[in-house]
Amino acid sequence: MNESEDMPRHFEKHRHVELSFLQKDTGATKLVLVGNPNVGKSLLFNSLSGVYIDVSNYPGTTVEVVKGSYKHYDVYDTPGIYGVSSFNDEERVARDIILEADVVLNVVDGTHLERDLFLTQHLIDMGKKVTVLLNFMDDVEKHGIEIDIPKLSHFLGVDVVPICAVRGVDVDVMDLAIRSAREGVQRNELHRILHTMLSKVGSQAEALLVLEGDPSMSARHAIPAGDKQEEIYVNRRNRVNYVVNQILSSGSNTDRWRDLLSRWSISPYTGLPLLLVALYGLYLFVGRFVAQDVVGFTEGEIGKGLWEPWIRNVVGAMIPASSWLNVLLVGEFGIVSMTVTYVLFLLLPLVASFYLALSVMEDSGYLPRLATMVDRGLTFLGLNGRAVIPLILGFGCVTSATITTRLLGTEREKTIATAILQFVIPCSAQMAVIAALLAGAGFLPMLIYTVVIVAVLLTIGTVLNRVLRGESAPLLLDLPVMRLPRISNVARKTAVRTFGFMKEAIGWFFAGALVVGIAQMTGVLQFFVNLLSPVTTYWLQLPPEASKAFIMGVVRRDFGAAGLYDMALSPLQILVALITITLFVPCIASLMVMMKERGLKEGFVIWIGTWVCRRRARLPNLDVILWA
Amino acid sequence: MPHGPLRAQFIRMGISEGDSATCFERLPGGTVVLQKNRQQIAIGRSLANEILIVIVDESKD
Repeated sequence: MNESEDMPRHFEKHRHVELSFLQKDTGATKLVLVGNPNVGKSLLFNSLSGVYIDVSNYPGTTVEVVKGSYKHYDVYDTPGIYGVSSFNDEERVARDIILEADVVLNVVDGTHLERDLFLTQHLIDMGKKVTVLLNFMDDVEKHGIEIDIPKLSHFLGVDVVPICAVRGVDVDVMDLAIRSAREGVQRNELHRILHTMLSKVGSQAEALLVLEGDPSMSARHAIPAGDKQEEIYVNRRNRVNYVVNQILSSGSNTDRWRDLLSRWSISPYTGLPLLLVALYGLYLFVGRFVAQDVVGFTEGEIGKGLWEPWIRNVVGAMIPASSWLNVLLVGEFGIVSMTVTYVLFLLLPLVASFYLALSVMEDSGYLPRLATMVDRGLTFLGLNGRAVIPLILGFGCVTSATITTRLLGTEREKTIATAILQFVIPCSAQMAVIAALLAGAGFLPMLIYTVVIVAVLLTIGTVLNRVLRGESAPLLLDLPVMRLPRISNVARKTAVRTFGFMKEAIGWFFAGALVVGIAQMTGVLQFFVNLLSPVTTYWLQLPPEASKAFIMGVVRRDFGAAGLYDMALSPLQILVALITITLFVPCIASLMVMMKERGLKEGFVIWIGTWVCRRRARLPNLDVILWA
Repeated sequence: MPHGPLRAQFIRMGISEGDSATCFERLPGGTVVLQKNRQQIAIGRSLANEILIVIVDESKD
């Protein structure tokens, strides 16, 4: 829907990107691993390359591109895809890399041949030099599936090498697989139509994509997009089904335990208790272990104990303490003192632990099933099940979650998810403080807090769902097999994502601190505190210092909540203050990322919205408590 | 079957017009999980509504 509007922009972006990204690679043969999601590509990449020469987010996307080297080859790992086109960021990135590939190693799940061979045939139709690596041969055996490998190789016209990536792959086998990569067998009818297009485009791969209606490819060659996608797809699918029928004698389709587990996590009756268990586990790991023990050590001992005094001394030796530069660097909101502690010693462990938990949930196959379970509920908010990922991540860090909204299908969903994140999701930096304060305030305030936050969440989603034009994309999700996550894979994902987040967001935290630091020196900050004071004292009935805590909350969300600790507040005041803090503009970094992601206009509207909503949400519930 | 990219995605995943698959799970609210061979695909309510289904064997459903 928005695809066509976006296309010219995307095209421009990706064309530049593609050139600059791949031009770095000089000379070496480009070996590209391609496959459906969850077929063991990354594991294979690890055993093949072992080292990452370059891990980067493909510019303009959150898609990770991992580059390594194997002998004299440059090896690329691509995001999991089902076909080569431009339906989403992953596909666009994979497509660009595949187009530049010299050799494609197509990793195929031996237990999902019918699905996976579509991509194989797609790559062959593109005229790429391909070798098929048939993975999960242990599972194939276990399920009693028999695959006639020589016959499969004959049908495809390329080598098919059975492997089991988990157990490691023999170097000689890999070398042979790479060397023997060749162009496969194309169907005659496709060959004919390709020929006509080939004379206009000059590359078989791009000719095929133009025929299949890929908008950016046709724009690149200034040829109208083809309308043959469906015809080509159906023919390819029929061909694949035919081949699979010829080479496969199917074993058992069911796996009792996996099926049972899958059913349990999908169905709400068993899935909700399972989710509670998962969330409790997450709380123990992130909320207790990381947020308290790990962060206590990194922030308290390393950050405040070692780093800040040291850097203050260093800066103080060079720049007099009274100068503005000194204040800016190592003052209350110091860029190299407080911000470094905040970003490196508080946020980094929290965000990394959230990414770790998310990777475990993802690799075990639980996350897609959770998305399935909550799908219907989220459609009321104008989202689909996939949005569960940014929403969960938001409890870690709203800034990182805002970046992750890119994986949602339509602009509409991105707007709704971003608004929900900005409004109601308390991030881990402040959650511990909120929980502690609420626990002190008693059961009723805790209940009211939860009800208000949930009510605001539902209101935002429902209202935006009504107001925003267009429709959100429905859920269509391939559920991977449930299996124990592999440590190496989880570690790699966590590292790549954390690194990506730091790279993308770190600048905004520093920029935010700089803005607030300057505001403090010029007196603008105090002006805002004074401006807010009447609101906090008369309207919210909080002590005047509370307005300072709120302002601080903009720089560091945890500061805002922590500032309330030191004030002697009644349970009612705690409740009011916490609701204000939660619904308050999250933090300056997430605000800036939102402006960048959603555009200035929309970002500003959401920001203003948070203020309007604060008034609405708070007043009635004040009365409720007063009566209680 | 729906048209456009969703249809293409279905074909890629292995489900095209005229195929048969079993219903692995039907959630309250309308989300459906189909199973074909060893593969499970979750389909949102609105999308599932667009797909015309003929029940082949009720005892399997």
